[in-house]
Amino acid sequence: MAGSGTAHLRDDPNVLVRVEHMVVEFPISGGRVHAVSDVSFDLVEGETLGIVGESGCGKSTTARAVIQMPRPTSGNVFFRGTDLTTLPSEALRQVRPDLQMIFQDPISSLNPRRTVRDIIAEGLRVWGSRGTWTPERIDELMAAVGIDPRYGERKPHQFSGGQCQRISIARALVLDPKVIICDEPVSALDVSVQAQILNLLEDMKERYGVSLMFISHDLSVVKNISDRVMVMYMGKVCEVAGSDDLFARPAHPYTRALMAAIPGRHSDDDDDGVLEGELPSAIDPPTGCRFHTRCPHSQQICKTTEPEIRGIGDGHFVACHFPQVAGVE
Amino acid sequence: MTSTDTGTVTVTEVGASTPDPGTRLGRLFWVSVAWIVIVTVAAALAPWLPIDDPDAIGGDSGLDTALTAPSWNAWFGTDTLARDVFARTVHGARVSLVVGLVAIVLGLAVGGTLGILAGYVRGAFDRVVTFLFVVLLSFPSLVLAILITSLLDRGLVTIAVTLGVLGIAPVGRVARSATIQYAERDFVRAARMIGSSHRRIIVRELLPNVAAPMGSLALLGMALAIVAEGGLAFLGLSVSEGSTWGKLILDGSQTQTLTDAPWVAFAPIAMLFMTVLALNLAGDRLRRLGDVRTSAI
Amino acid sequence: MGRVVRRTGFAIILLLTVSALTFGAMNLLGDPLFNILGPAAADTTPAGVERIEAARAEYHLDDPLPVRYLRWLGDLVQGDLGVQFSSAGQPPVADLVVERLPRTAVLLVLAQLMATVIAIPWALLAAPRVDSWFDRLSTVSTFLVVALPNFALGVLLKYVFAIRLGWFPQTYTADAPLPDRFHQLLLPALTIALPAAAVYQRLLRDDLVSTLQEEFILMARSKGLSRARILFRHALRPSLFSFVTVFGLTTGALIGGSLVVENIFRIPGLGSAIVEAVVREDFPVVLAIVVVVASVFIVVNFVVDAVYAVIDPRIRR
Repeated sequence: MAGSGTAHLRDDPNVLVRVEHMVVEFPISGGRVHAVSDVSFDLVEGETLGIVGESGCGKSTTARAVIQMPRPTSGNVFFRGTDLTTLPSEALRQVRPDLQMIFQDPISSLNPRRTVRDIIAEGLRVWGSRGTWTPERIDELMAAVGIDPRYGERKPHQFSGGQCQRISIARALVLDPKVIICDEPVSALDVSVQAQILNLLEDMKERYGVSLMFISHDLSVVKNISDRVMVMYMGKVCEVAGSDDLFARPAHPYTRALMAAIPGRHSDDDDDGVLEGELPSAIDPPTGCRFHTRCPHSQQICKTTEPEIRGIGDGHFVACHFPQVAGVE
Repeated sequence: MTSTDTGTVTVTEVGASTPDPGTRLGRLFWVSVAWIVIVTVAAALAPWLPIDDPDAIGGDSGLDTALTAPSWNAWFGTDTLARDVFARTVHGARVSLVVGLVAIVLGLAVGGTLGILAGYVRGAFDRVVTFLFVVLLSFPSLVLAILITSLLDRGLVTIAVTLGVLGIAPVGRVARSATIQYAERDFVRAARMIGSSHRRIIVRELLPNVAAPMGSLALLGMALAIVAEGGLAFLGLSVSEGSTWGKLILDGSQTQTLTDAPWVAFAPIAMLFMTVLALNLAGDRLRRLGDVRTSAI
Repeated sequence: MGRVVRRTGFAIILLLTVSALTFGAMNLLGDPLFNILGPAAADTTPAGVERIEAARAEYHLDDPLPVRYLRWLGDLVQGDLGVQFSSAGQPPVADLVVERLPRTAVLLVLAQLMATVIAIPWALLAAPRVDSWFDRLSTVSTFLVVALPNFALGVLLKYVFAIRLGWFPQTYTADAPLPDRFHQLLLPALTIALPAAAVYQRLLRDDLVSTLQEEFILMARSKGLSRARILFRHALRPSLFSFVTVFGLTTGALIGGSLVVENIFRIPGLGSAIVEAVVREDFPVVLAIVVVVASVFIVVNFVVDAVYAVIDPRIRR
């Protein structure tokens, strides 16, 4: 897999974010890191898009390139029809409040020298009220994310990791954004806390009408929160499908391998064992399908020709020469 | 402690000898601060304090004799011209402290600004600033001070500015590395996501964090500036007008005076020593409190 | 190998920048004509103007600054540092430097040796006994010593050991026999060495303490090796890295310290030379000494960097 193509993009009038042929490369001494290579996807209003893959697959870079931090090497990112990649920096700054982000590391996400109320209200100081929230209603927002407003004058280090993520969520919500990008928001947390934060995210999404891009290496986390899931491998898209559909009939060998790795989930196919071999170098990625070096179903064509993304029904798309689905060959 | 290829030195506090790191400043810190406050206030109010005129020969009474040992009448004794050493020491603090203060404020303002900008902007600007710091540090600091004062005059302002220039590179390096350390954190990314301007990010997000190591550096730097002024004074190259601790010690260190009346030198030495010690201790405690593991040598 | 070339190139660029800056500052902020002619530079009589014109021509003062810098640099490389305008007969600056530099250099080397000889055993004694009374006392004394500026320390040592106890002479005599001169340098060297020793001890002790907690030390200890053997054979070397770096950086402070200490003990070294030159506004001498001293400092740090690469196998490539 590891394919290109745009077959999975939708013509919905409610598309908020549409990414086309995005490429992100970093020059390093001795070559270029191909972090994201020709990735396309879209996000419809009110939807949660999960992006999964191993660490190093480019999912975080993809998310950051959507918000132009850093700007992608090539390709386009449309937000409500405006191409962010060509936007001058001041115009981009004007768009930023609509696209907020929650980071993985709860400690690093919050300025250790500022009070929690200060951190949450910062957006309002920059932009003034943009709708729901005003400086007077910060207490209400804190309560909504589950932080006792009486602790507003405390510094971040006095809170637990889970509470810090709640504060991050409040900071993102204060500007009434359209999209919140969640970059592994629970992977630094204890398992017992993870569910609480995921529930809070879903709650907030319902209540304030935001759309989410949810990035995680953990399929089981993505499964419950996402409406649609995109699986990535080495900077390429493998498979895109509705969440239930993807879990019911994973078509890409890589997706199947990821699922086989979830504890307590038994695979119906002996081939889909745990992934073998090392992740190839992102400086010199494999030819053809980037997954062919580790794929149990690899054939000659996989080494030479990169598979295009194609539909296999019900909004289910896969980039593989030999998808593991009955009836498609 | 580790070193980088540019020679920055960071000192890490290690081991159990660090009592209670990073929670309380401790008694020693407050004793030091108290001493600094007392010296500063005494220096500021010196002309109005009930002490002798530092330039009056024979003290205020005009009856004291030269080189008398410390007594109830003249606490620190008298010098070769029968002037009251205690009064001279208190007055000498004025120039020493002003020079130290101006120098470190200048060092913080210029070095801090350059360092923070270099650490935030990176790229070519960073390389230029870093090279500038290396060049400044290539002159042994006293030699650079001699060079500048030899070319300009020896007024109070010139000396203070000269010593401030010495502080630019050490302060700038610490500011730069602290900025880099924080600029990589997600809260700076979050600030950009919110749409904060670069100016706002530097002032509201980075400055409060970088200010912590800067505060301890300011105290250490002020001590260094006071000492450097003393060094210049010893070479006869400090301020041409007014007396400083350095000049007082120089006066007292003439072999004959030192043999007959060591208190003339020892009194200002004691004041200088206590003040530098207090600044060093306070700075050291502050550094541990901030758990910032960088210190410029 | 690439590292060696890079570091050498950088040191050369640094030397050029430092000398160009010093030369530029001297010529832009100072008045070279005044340095050459003294008060006669303001002479407006026809004879005076003629002398001024002659001096301008002789010293190429009408050439642009970069050209003059390059000419000066060319002379410098050939050992010609110009002449001492303020001295009778205008002897070469190089003579002065050759006469004075060795004394300052010997003083510095002696001081660094003393500091090292004091600091290493001191740290080796303190580190294995973290928080013992000895260790605490060491830490307190390093703080006290560091807070005592070198000129104040010099005055105190001079009072105690030269004036009261009479163990050492109070001043330096340049024409005394060699053993006497060495004896005369001990007290000044100690003045420079003590604060450096305190800094070194603190660093080395901290590094030793953390090294002693490493697993390979625990391993050595569990094998039953003696404490002394562990300290010398296993712990000391990995703890020397920061010591070596600071050794180089401290040299700058020590150079400044030696200028001051020379004045206390009346040692006719570079320190007194530069002070005399500043007072007489003899700028070729000031320029030469600043450039020589800064160059020595840069070279010392370059050498220290090389040594660092030798003792740290991670850098040697």
